[in-house]
Amino acid sequence: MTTRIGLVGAGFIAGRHVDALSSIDGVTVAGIADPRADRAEVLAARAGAAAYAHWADLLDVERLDALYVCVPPHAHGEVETAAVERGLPLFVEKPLATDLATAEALADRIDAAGLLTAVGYHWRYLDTLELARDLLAGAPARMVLGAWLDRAPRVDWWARQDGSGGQTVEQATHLFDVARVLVGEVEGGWATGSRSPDGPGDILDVCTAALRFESGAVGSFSNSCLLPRAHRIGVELVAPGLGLWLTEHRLVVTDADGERVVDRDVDPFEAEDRAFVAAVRGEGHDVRAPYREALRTHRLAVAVAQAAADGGTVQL
Amino acid sequence: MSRLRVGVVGTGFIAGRHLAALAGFDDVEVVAVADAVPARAEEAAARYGARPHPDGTALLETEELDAVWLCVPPFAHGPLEAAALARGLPFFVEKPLGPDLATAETIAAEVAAAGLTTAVGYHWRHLGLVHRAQELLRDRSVQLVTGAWLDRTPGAPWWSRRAASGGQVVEQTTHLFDLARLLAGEVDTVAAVERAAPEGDVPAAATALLTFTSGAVGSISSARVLGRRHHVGLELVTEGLAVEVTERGLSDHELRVSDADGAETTGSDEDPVAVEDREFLDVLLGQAPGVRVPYAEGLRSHALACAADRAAREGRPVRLGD
Repeated sequence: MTTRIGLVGAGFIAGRHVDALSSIDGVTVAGIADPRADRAEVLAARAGAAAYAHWADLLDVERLDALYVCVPPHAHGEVETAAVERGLPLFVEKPLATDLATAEALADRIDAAGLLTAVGYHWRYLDTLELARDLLAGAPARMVLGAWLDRAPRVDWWARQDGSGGQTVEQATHLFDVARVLVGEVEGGWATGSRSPDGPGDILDVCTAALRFESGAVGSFSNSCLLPRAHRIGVELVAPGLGLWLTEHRLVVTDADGERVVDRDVDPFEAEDRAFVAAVRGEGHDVRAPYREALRTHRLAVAVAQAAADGGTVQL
Repeated sequence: MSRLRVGVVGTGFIAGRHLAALAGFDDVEVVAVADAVPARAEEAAARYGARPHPDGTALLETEELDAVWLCVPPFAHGPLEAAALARGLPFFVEKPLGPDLATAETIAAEVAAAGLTTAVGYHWRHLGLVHRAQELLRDRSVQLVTGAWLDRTPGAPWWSRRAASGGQVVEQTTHLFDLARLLAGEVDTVAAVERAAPEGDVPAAATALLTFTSGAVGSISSARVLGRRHHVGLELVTEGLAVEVTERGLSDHELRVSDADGAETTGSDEDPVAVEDREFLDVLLGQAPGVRVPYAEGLRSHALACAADRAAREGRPVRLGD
């Protein structure tokens, strides 16, 4: 039986999902909605799907088995609520929202409905992340250092606080998610940020945090969008006798044997989509970041961003 | 030509680097060395044609010197500087200035009152690569500083005792705090977290969060649980430019500059210890205007490292100067 999927949003990340979904047997991308009709049409044509200007029309017209919500951070809320009311399994892109309240409310609705959900923390599907976790099983991390030093993406909402929630919430959230998987929950800490006179939009263009984990490990997370290109994006872990540097593409392992580079074998977008589709079909249980779990990462990212803006303590 | 007569107190790793550098200068005579372990003092004395002494105070009391190098463990600072001050003897002192702040503050006040010529071994400041980084950042405002000293635990028995060494943040990472001050300016506030270690009371890992007077922010992390030196460096981010200085060994540094044109890496095998020693000697000879890191300047970096350590121990932010 064909699994029919709808997408809300036709931006960059929606395109990645359309490509991944198209490679899965028995999946049809039935419809794509985007308020920019031209964009919806281009992506719909690529997927052989129907294009919609409004997501409500997509939900009313198409018979769907699941919905992908790939909207900008500020646009979360209504569409998820509508999907929950229809009992539609949801794949939601990160960040869950620009703020915490929207996501908390949605998590409660989703739980009440007992809905299947997945969130696009795709680093969780990296085989290299699994290798890192195996290596750390014998020697837990004492320190984790995350860095997202990049340029500002050139979409209009990104550099506005009310559009994206800021870089910590929109991008560095992946680093917090990886840290939670590999080191566990954060207990608290400190954060600070700054904004340069010529920086883009109104967001903090640098932010850095010093965090304490429940395991006793400590770490720092830094992000900046002031650079001309992606400069350094990844998570470094330090354990007794072991150093790890995980990026979206590879893992560098340094131990008593020296240094070795392990390239990823898995396309994490494809893997997360396969896992979600299998769960929708009742054929698999490998959704690694359901909404409630992703909410914990979002909560951490929002707490760090707030502490950085208000000059102080990270409170969870 | 009369040669400058110098003594060296301590014969450990860094003392060996200074002895080698000093022995290489034609206008310097190493006349005496001291170490609490007599065999080590005698071995170094024999190698450099100097007189051995069982302790630094004895050396300072009996030798006729133009300058002395104080290369002792952190806990041994205080009496030696006082003895040099009592004789009006210029001294070069290795970092850290002490395991705590109080000792160094007392010495700094006396150095200032005496107007004595001093230098502190923050050797990164003497690297051509660091001067290049300074030039690149001169007319820009640094926004973000990230630093890491990820290393093994040094073997010296005193190192893993916080009261003796000051801990990793004060003993090693102080170089990164010094470089951060040089390249991003003074720090206003520091908050920090640390993770205890099963052996010794020096934390296994620690991270300090810095707010600079300029408004820049940063974090500088330390860990001592690796098998060998893993990553030691400081990165600075400003609009359109990232500059990173790393140290693999005392004479093995790298500068990485990333901007709109791409990334460029420059290596250096310069010996910064020889450069800092030469500068101090030239000031004593009246051939150079001043040292880059006199005691008062070294004290500011030491104070920052001590503040980072205190903020972690006390679990609350520390304002510099408090």
